[in-house]
Order: sequence, then C-alpha cells, then structure tokens
Amino acid sequence: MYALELIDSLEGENWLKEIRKEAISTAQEVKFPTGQQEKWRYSPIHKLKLEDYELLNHKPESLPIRSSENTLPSSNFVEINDGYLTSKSNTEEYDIFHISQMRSPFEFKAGTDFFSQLNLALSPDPIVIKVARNTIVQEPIFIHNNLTVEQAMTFPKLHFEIENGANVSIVEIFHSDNLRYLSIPETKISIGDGANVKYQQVQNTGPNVWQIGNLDVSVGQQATFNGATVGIGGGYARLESHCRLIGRGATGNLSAIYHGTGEQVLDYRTYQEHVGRDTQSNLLFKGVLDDQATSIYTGLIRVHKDASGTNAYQTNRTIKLSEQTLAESVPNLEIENNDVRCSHASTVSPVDDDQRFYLETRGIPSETVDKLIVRGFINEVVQKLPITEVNEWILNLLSGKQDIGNP
Amino acid sequence: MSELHIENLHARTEEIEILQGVNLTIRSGEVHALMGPNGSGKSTLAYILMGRSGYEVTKGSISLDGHDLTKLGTSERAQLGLFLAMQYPVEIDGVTLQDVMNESSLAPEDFQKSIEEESRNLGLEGNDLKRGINLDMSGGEKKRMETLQLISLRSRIAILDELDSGLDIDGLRVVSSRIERATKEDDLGVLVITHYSRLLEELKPDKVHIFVNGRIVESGSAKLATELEETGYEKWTSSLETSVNLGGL
Repeated sequence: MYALELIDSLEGENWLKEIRKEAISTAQEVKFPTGQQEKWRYSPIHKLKLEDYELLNHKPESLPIRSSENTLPSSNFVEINDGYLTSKSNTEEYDIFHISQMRSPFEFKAGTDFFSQLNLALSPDPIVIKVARNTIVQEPIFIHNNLTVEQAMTFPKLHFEIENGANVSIVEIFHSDNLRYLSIPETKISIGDGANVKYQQVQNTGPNVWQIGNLDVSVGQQATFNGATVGIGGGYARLESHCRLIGRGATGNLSAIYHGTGEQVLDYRTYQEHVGRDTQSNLLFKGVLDDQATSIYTGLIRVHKDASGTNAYQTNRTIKLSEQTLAESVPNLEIENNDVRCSHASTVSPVDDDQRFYLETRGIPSETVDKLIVRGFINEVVQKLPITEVNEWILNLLSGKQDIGNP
Repeated sequence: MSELHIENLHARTEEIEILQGVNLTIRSGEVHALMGPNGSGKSTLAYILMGRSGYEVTKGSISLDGHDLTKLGTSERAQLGLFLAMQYPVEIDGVTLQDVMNESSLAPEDFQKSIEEESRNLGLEGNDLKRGINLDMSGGEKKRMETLQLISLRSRIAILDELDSGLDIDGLRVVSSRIERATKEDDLGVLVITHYSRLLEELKPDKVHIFVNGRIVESGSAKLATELEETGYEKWTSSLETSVNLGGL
C-alpha cells in the first residue's frame, strides 16, 4: 500500500512526485486512524482494509449522462471519473488546470491527518479551477465525480481558487453504481475577499462504497460561503468539513440533509472556525434514519482569540424511523473571546406520535404519514439549500430513498 | 345517512380502566353534547373512538355504518368519515394544509377553490394555508384550522374535543355557525365535547350527555346543559362513591 512505486506510476513532474513522497511519509508517521481517536469516535474505521482495494493508475473513459441526471443543466460541467478529469465543457468563465501537467510547483495545503495526506500522495490528477477576480459565473458548475471501477481506491482532488469579488455556484455530485469501492476525495475552496460562493454537494454512491471525504473552505473578508450537502448513498460515508472564516466580516453557512437506510453509516464532522472579527456561521444538519442505519454528527465551533463579534450557531437534529437505528450527536464549543454569540442544539427523536395521530385523523394513509412528517422535517433545510436550480432533483433523490427505505 | 354506534364500550390503558360501559348513537344531522368534569375521560373517549394507540378496548363495540371500527387503524376510521377536531391541535413544521389535502384520500378533487373560500369565511389568511400546519398559530386560529379541515374533508361524523377552548366570542360564533350549517346542509353528525354551554348556544344540541368516570350517567335535552351551568357536576359526582382517579384524562 505504501509502496513508492505507486507514486512513480502516477503522472506528474518531479516537484509533484516529491510532494507525493513527502505526503506518503507523513501518512506513515500519522498512522491509520483508530476508533479511540476523538475524530473517529463511533466510526467503523477499524473495518476498513486498504489492501482490499487497488489504486487506479490509468485514466478511465468518459461516461454518457445518466438518465437520473439528464434533467440537470449540462452546459457547464467537469466530469471526474475515479479521480481523473475525463471530460469538461468549454468555457471562458473560469480556468481549469491539471496539476500533474504543470511544470512549476503548485502550493498545496493539505490537512495533516492520514487520509488528507494519502489524498495528496495518491491523487492521480489534481485539478485546480480558478475563477478570476470579479468574474460572475452565470450557470452553476457541475462537478460529476463518478466512481466506476470495481474494488478501486481513488483520490479525487479538487481545488477552487475563487478570487476577490467573484461569484460562482458549484454542484459537486458523487455517484456510483453498486460496486465495492473506496473513495477518498478532497475538495478545497479558497474564497477571496468579497467573493460569493454557493456550493452543493450530493453524495449518491452505492451501498458498498466507503467514502471518506474532506471539504475545506476558507473565506476572506466580507466574503460569503453558502454550502450544503445531501447524503443519500454509501455504506460508510463520511464528510469532514472545515469552514475557516478568516477575513473580517466573513460568512460561512453549512446545511445538510442525510438519510440512512439499511446498514448505512453516515458520518459528519464539522468545524466552524472563526479566525477573523465579526464573522458569522450558521450550521443546520438534519438526518433521517431508518432500518439499522447509523448517523454520527460531531461539530465544533471554534472561536479564536481575536475573533470578537462572532456569531456562530450549530444545530443537529435527527429523526429515527426505526428503533434499530443509532444516532450519535456531539456538539462542542471552544471559545477564546468573550464578545461572541454562540449556540448549539442537538436532538435525536422518533417520529412524534401526536403528529402521526393528527395526520392519520385527516384520512392520510399511515404509510404516507411518516413520509409527510419526514418531508416536513427536512423542509427547513430544503429552504436553505443554496442552489435552487437543483432542489427538485435533490428532492426526487430523497423521496426515492424513502421509498426504498420503507418497503 | 350515517350512524356512529357505541355499545357498552369498555377500554383501558395498561394501568387503568378508563371507559366503563359507554352507550351512544350519533346519526347524520344530529348534534350530541358530551359534558363532564375534568378527568372524567371525555378526551380519552374521543381518542379511543378515533383509534389512538395506547388504549385497549376490552368489551363492547364501536361501529360506523356497520363497519367495526375497533379492527381499523386511525386513518381507516377517518377514511370512513369519522373526524376528530383536537383539543390541542398539533404543530407540524414543514407540513402545510395543502399537503394534508393533497395526501388525504378524503379531499375532493376540486378542493382548491372551496378551501380558499372556506378559509376566508372562517377568518383565516391565505398565508395560513402555506405554512406548517398550526405552526405559531394562536389557540383560536388553530381551532379555525380544525374547522376548515372538518368541512373540507367532508366528514360524516365529527367529534369536536373542546373546540371552544382558545376561541374568542367572535371566533366561536363563526366556527359554530359553520358547523351548524354543515349539520343542516351536509347532514354532518356531531359529538361536541365541552365544559361550557356557550358553544351550545350556537351549536344547538339535540341531546346532552353527562359523562362521569368513564360512562354516561345521564342524557337529556339541551336544557340539561343550562341546568349544569347552575348546579355543576356535584349531583352526579357525589353519587358515585367509586370515584377513580383518571389522571387528568
């Protein structure tokens, strides 16, 4: 697994090879995580065996558009199959760079944890998308991450550089059919001063996929990040999101809807990090669990010493449709400044009996009642989803999930 | 013509016997009032008629137009035309009246137009139909919403559990006259559970039943309600030595 030959088989200039080697050696030092570590508490990480998967070191083919996605706009897209950029639309609104083809070094800032280092070391085709200063990208950019090869282990790596005053919407979709797969993607979004980014992630992979994802956002002065993630698929699907509010007056909001069925484990770790003054963040995560599904939410609001005037809110609510489900929800605050307003809230509960009875007395069939309550429950997040053009598609995915979840 | 027939109904929770032989028949177009002291089991009777879980019918029967209701779930009872307007209507975030009408098998196809007209008549605003049902509504608004649903879902027999609580005098008049009209025009049969005779001045009952300790202890004409207003329930409660604590039900 750690063999350096793997790195030699990947495309890239020497400077990139050096970075990859260093990352491998850091990963070896950091070591594979265990469930005893706070960041991995409650997770089934001990069940993951990297040696069960094979690194994919050749570029797969481009795919036709899936029927489930043919209602989505297709004028502005980037297709990344198994970590390789395989197709993209022609545009002058932004630039796309293959890091592996760059002669001069690109400065990476990867996380220090095991999987971030592994992503840095083994990503075959890191991509940078750059939106120039004051550019307004008219249509959302669709990033289609397709996982296509049985038993593959892949490392999609995507950096967005959103320069000062730019405006862009990004929809990032992870999709796979039913295959065994390990996906370790990292998406990084650097948002310049006064820029405005809307980001919607949709994780719709198969039931035997392990996905350990990282979303890393930094927000400049008076800039805004409105992000959301929808978690539908995956066997074990994890998303660790860091939102760093660096510039004064920066805003970073993050919402999530996730729906676990079968034996799925959906794992969310969030960090709202207030570095600059007068920054604000609002987080709302709502989960639905059925069958024997598990959800894990741990969230930290961290307010740095100089971040006076911070407003930070964090809410996680989970509704359980079956008694065999398990939901862990751990909110945390770490505040080093007195001039702040912060709150966190967390609830885990079954469908409210009074609500169920009320709707049944209106002649709504019992099997529809729970669906209606669940739809109402997630509606608060639906209202906050940042890119309204894709809401209908997302709601369709979610309602399809409910039909499968309640046979 | 519909008929809700309750015969010798006994029911209990795990801990306690609540209904101890209820006999009552309500037909289309009739208004029956059920009055009784706190904790006598009136709301529980409403729940049991509607099939709420947590209660076991141990003896007797409930039927609506010949259908044995005790074998049916709540939504199936509602689909046969039984409606319960709740004392404390539940707030449901994200589920609108529109959703309820879309999903209820009772809603007529052309409900859209009539619901707007009915809601205006009942003093509800257009926005009330688009927000989460009962969400952030005053007590009175919730009762207007209950009435709107009762009318719009074309129920045959309605149980009104303290519909008057929360309504001011004007609201009470609007709501009760609409229900009164439904008894005349649409043959709605009604069981009104109330503490006060005020509602009954508007919604004139054909019969008044006094309910104490899980059963009807006296039935009479509308005059009985007026008598109650003066004397209270003492006459009936003191005669029952086997007073059971029904835990505020």
